Amino acid sequence: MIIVSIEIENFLSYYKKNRLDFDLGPTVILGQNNTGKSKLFDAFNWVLYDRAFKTTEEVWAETKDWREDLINRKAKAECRNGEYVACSVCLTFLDEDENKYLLAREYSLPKSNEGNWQIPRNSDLSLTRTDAVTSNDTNFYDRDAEEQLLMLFPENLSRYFLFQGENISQIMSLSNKSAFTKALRDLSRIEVFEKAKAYADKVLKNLKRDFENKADADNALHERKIRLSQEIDKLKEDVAFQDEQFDNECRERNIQKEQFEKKNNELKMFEECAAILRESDYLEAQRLTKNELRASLITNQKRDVFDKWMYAGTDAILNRFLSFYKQNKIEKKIPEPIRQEFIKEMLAEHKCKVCGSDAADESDAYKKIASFLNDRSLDKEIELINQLSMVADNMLDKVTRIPEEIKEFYLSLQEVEDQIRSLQNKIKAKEEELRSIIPSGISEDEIKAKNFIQIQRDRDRFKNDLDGSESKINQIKGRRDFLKKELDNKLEEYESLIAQSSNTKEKERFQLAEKVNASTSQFYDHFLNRIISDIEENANKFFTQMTIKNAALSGKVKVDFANKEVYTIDEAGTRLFNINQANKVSLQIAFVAAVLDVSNRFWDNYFPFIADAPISALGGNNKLTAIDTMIEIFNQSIVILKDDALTYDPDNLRNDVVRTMIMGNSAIKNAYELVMEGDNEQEQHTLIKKIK
Amino acid sequence: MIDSPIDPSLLVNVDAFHYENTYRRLCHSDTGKASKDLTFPTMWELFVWGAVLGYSKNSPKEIEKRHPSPPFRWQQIKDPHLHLLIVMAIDKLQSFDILKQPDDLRKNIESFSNGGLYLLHEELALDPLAYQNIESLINQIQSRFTTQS
Repeated sequence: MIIVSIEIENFLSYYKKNRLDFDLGPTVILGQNNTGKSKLFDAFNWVLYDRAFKTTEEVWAETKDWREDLINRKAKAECRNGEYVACSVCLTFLDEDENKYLLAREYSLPKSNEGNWQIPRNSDLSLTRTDAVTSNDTNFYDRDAEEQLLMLFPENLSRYFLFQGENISQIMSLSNKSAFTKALRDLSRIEVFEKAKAYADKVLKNLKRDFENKADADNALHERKIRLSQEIDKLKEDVAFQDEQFDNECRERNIQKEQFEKKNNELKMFEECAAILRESDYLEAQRLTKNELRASLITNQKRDVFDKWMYAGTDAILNRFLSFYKQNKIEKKIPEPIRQEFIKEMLAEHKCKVCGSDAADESDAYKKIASFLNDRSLDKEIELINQLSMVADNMLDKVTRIPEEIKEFYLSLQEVEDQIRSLQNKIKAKEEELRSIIPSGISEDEIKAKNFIQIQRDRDRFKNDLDGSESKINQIKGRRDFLKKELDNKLEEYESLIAQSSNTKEKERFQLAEKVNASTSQFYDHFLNRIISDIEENANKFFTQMTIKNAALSGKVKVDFANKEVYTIDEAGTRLFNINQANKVSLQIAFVAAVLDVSNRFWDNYFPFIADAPISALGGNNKLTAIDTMIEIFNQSIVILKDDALTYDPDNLRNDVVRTMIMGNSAIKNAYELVMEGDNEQEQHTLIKKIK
Repeated sequence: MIDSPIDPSLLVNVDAFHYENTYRRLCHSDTGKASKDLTFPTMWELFVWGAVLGYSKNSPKEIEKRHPSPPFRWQQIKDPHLHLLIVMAIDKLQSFDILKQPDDLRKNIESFSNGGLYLLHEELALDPLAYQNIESLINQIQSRFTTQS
């Protein structure tokens, strides 16, 4: 099955018509918190199975429970009295033979003339199949459409191909009533064997009754036979009861485990955050100390050196000026300033004391000398030029000594500034680290104020419950093994009694029924084990694919159906406890991929993998490996991811590893980004932006 | 010291852009820091620093929009800084005649200071956080042009 497109109209956070096209291959959809990622996942679930996840109650709910809340707020607000508003999701997909399907689910909400909503209970479903060869359309509606749909997308498998990261533990549970067991039934068609087993059991029971009801010639033998048969029945009942107890307790244990892990992760996450904040505070304190040190360095020494330091590097200019000055001097372009008193003296004596000529009143020479009289500007200008040359000379002297004078200051300042820069980088790195693990909506202050003791107590309580559950399971297992052993002994004893019986005909028929029953059971067990081992083998294939790429992942997958658990083991087959988050997510993805892969084989068609992926908690390389795996191992994958980049910061956006991977991976033909549009809550709705 | 030809009572023209973005940010403390602890305790010091950088980098820039009420007068520029700026202006023009044209001299110094501050602004635009650590940036610019020259 290949999903071609999804069209979402007025559904939850989606306002008006929105469309996403998919390709055979991977599609990545990014979105920050509350931009409509989960609503997109809901759209797939709703159109296929009439269910959407209510986050507040953490339950999947049908249209009849969602009612008018399914329809986008803005669309409802715009609906006029006497009209109606509808939400719909249309899914276009192809089957293996390229027959095309258009699946549409719609929920209409009429508004009365008085402005009241008239709320229908159900949505309308329609499915149109267009034959690949003849192009003929066949339409199915409501129940018929549902039936057709379940043949194409079996609901019991839906938890695997519609992969909801947050509720992953539910699909990892292998107990009798779990999603896995349901999926197993669907994917293996094991009910045929179950029926055969039930018939064989019934036949065996009837023939046993015939055998036991017929009195044997040997009365004592007959009585022993009856007594033993009753004991066996009782033991069988007890074993069945223990089996049920075992399954119930395993389910209970899985719940405890989930709660414990949730609490443990919460504690670990908060502890990690708190540790980062502590380190940040420590670094910040160090930075402040260094800042103070730098400030004191500057305050104490800056004024001394700064006045000169401002001119550091100006020696070329000063030298050039001084040369220019000297040259002008040589060329006499800058005359020596003539003192006013000296001019007055010359005029009084009617004699030029520069050239020695006479300067009679009104003569040219006299006039020339007089022209210098009171010419203060010339005096001032020349004096200023001379002054400037002195200032320049003086500064040049200082400038050439600057490197030495400020070297020590500069080095100590440089050193402390390097330290400050390094501390700033460390603080920035801590902030980024914190941002990658901090849950959305929780502030740093809230983390600091968290009561770790209480979380620790809760975690320990769950651990105690979990340990208690494990002991109980062991106890039940022990009891069951004991009963089974006793049953085997009784059965052996009973076998010998059968052999001694003189009722040949009944005896033979009973023995034959026993053989048929044993063979059927064996066949059933063999088939079941085969599927389980296929799933395990495939899970290991995918897990290895991930471990090769990522050194942080290790171990092998063990699908322990007897103990109703999936976990990782080391080379020696020993179970690995306390595995890290990356290993856990990879294990989950590998397991889901394996179940789908095996089911693909049984159903002879491929299911698309649509994931509201739980990989935000994974760091850099682990995250990329997980995305890589999801897009590589499935024929078609639609991966909805939390966008961890700071979209408002172009640098951060440019360096975002996920975007870089999307752009660089040629297999990814389509990528989208979801953003929230609108200024207020009433107006806000999801906007789909195509980024690739 | 001989008076400079520039009328000391005149206001120094600065670009309105630099006044808002550079002068006010670098010469005013909004953290309660004493003004003497600032790298540029007064605006005229920043003006001089800009001019020295402008002359060193030969980077004049006409004032695009003069600040309507310039914040300081020429007389506030202490010795020997104003004289050194005149030295640089003469060097740039390779003529003492500028001393006879006080208005041109004033405009020359103002345009080089404007150009120098523009270079500083470009550095700050690359790293807005540098405002918090301006000495470091000044240090870098200073050491860079010391090395280059």
